[in-house]
Amino acid sequence: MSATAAAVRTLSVALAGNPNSGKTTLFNALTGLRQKIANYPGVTVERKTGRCQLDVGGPCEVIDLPGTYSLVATSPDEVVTRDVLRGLRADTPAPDVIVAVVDASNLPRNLYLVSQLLDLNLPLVVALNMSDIAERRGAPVDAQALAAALGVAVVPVVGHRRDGIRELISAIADAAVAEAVSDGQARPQRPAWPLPEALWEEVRRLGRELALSSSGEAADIHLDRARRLLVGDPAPDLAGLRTDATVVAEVERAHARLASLGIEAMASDIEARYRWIDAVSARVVRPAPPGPTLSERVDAVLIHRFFGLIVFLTVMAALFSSIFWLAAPLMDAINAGISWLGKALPDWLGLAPAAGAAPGALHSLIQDGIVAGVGAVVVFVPQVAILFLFLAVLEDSGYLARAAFLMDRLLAKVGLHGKSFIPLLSSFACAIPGIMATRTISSWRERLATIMVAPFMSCSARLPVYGLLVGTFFGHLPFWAQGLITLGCYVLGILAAVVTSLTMKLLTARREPPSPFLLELPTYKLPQVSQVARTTWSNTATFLTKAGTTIFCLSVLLWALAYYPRAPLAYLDEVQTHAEAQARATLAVTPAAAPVIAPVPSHPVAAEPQADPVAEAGAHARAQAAREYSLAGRLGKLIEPAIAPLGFDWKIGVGLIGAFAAREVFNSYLGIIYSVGEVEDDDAGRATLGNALLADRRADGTPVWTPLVAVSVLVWFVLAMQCISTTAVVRRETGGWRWPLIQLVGMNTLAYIVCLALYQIGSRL
Amino acid sequence: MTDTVQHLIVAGVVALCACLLVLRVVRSARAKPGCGCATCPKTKKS
Repeated sequence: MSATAAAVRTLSVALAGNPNSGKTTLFNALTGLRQKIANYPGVTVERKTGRCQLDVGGPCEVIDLPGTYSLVATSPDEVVTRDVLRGLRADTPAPDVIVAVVDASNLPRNLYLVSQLLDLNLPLVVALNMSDIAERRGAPVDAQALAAALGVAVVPVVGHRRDGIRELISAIADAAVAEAVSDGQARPQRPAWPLPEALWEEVRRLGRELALSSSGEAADIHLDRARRLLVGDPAPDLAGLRTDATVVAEVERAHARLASLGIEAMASDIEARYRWIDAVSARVVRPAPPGPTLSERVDAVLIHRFFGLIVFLTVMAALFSSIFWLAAPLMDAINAGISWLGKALPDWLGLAPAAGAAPGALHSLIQDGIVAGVGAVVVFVPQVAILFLFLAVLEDSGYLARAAFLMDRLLAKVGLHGKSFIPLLSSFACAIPGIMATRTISSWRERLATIMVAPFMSCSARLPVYGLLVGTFFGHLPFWAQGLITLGCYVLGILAAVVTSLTMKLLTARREPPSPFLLELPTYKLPQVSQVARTTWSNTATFLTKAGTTIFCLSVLLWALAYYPRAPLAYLDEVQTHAEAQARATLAVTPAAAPVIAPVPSHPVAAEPQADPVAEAGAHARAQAAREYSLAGRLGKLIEPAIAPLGFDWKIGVGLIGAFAAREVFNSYLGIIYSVGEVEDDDAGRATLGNALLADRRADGTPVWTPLVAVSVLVWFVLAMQCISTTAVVRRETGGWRWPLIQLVGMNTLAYIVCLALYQIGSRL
Repeated sequence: MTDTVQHLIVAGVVALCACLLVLRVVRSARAKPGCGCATCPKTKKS
């Protein structure tokens, strides 16, 4: 192929490297895309592709691969990397050029994978990333000497600053052109690993056997296959040879001969590579000055068995408290905006009712359905954004990887894995990426346990529900106490996950030993403002997009359920008259008694009704009758007997059903149901919705919502499996309906039993 | 705007939202299955 042809053809460039070596940062720098990056290993679990313009000719396709320490893959994400690099995937061509992304601050460990990439005999370029950190530590890497030792181009880069990216693109183009003009002759030569001579002899012997049975391939290809067969490489391209009786017999004989000499093929191969790595490192890395680094000194405290946990719990408590006090002013402002919009929008559209007339259906759809429904979710955007901001700061600083290390001991005891921590942590944003992140776990049992408990982690969709109920029923407490109650919800989810995982561990017939947890702790660094801002915005935008699409559509549907069919006016008049008569009779018997609608002490807006209690009672009964007449009311009344023992009335029940589409819809539904049918045209938003909850009464005058009911609903939201999307992803990741159904039934049964016990015991105390 | 016209517009909006939600569910259901790698449980079983 000519150089021109190579330049014109779209090249495929694969980025491979150890976990947390900065592949995705380089990918983003090369392609201009914004894939998620974080300062902990295991963020990328699927291959991602983007396009990059080469100096010579047209664009190339860049493939970002999950990180791996070795091409002998054990976990699903590592299998993706191995299969793409070996050209074993039908949907991805073998790469034309491999870019080995190497962490310069930890060169020896990274060179092991490079040694295996050299074995692939493909055009290779080494991107020496994080060279700034290596220099700061006083142990810089001599790129030229490394290039000479490896026989490939080595380009120092600093991914997050985009330093060296142009040079890297040039090196990729050079490697591709060299490959094209030399027809494969310019590929890097495999270094001669210092294997024991006896093992080399066996490799050569088996290579000759393989060459006999297939013709037309170069001798070094047979030698490479022979070596891989002897060291037990499970890659699927060797599957045919592994089942060939002649080859199997040859391999067994070779193993027997090696064993008689005290040589184990795989261990010898690894040792040989590390001997080579030590020799290369000694030539190219200046020894670091003695003494612990700053990261090591900080780690002495942060990963300490006792102090580390104290710091972790303090950080989490501070995070949740700040969610309330930092967000409060912003939420008030959004609340006011939503309230104003709810009134102004129908007027702008010319839907304002004539004096004395009731608002029309379109007016109600806009004010009570769309603005109140979507607004009841949007008002919690500041809390969600602050949660994501703090998590982004923690993950970019490198602290979250330490938290994973701290949790490994606990996780192993309950049948999970240290690698479960990052998927579980991701689940605090949303269970779906969390469940996909379990692909880094090689043991199927531990991966399944992580998938099954991930939805117990309180996702961002639950936060608006927590915020509404904690703010309404515990709003009189200081911010730190509200934060602790919210933290309690998160902790309850974690406890439920621990108990579930422990139960799964006990029920598992096979007692597998826990697989080892190897975690490379990333270097501490000051969080980059741009990266933190991008992560926070990306997650918040996802929440907002959901509010603007799914929540919007669901709010419209739920409004229709709550609005239609309309109760006949004569019926509502009759209910109102009856309620007013009852209120009058009650006041006549007990004039000193509290009014039917009791003022709510902690909420000044609700405390204002100094108005006629008789009229209040009549209006309330009328609104209640209008709601109950609707489809939602009829459905709610149908299910009410099943949920009444939990302290839930029919409105909560319908909200819980709506929450199966998306948990935030619970807030939307409450916003709608407490707006539709109200005679008084009240402000929309959190404060008013909270007041509406506090003021709602049953027919006997007892409050529908009490702190105990609120806690029961909170517990339901912590424990119940209410997300259809998560169920779909669990089905996809487990390959069938068995586990998602067990999860759905199990979590909801647990939620029901715990709420039942909580409410029944609590109401008797 | 008469009540009938308002109810008709509302019916249109509700139907549109219902269609959008159904479309979303269908698109999610048709999303690409897992990574398809050798260790995916589905591949293992087959």
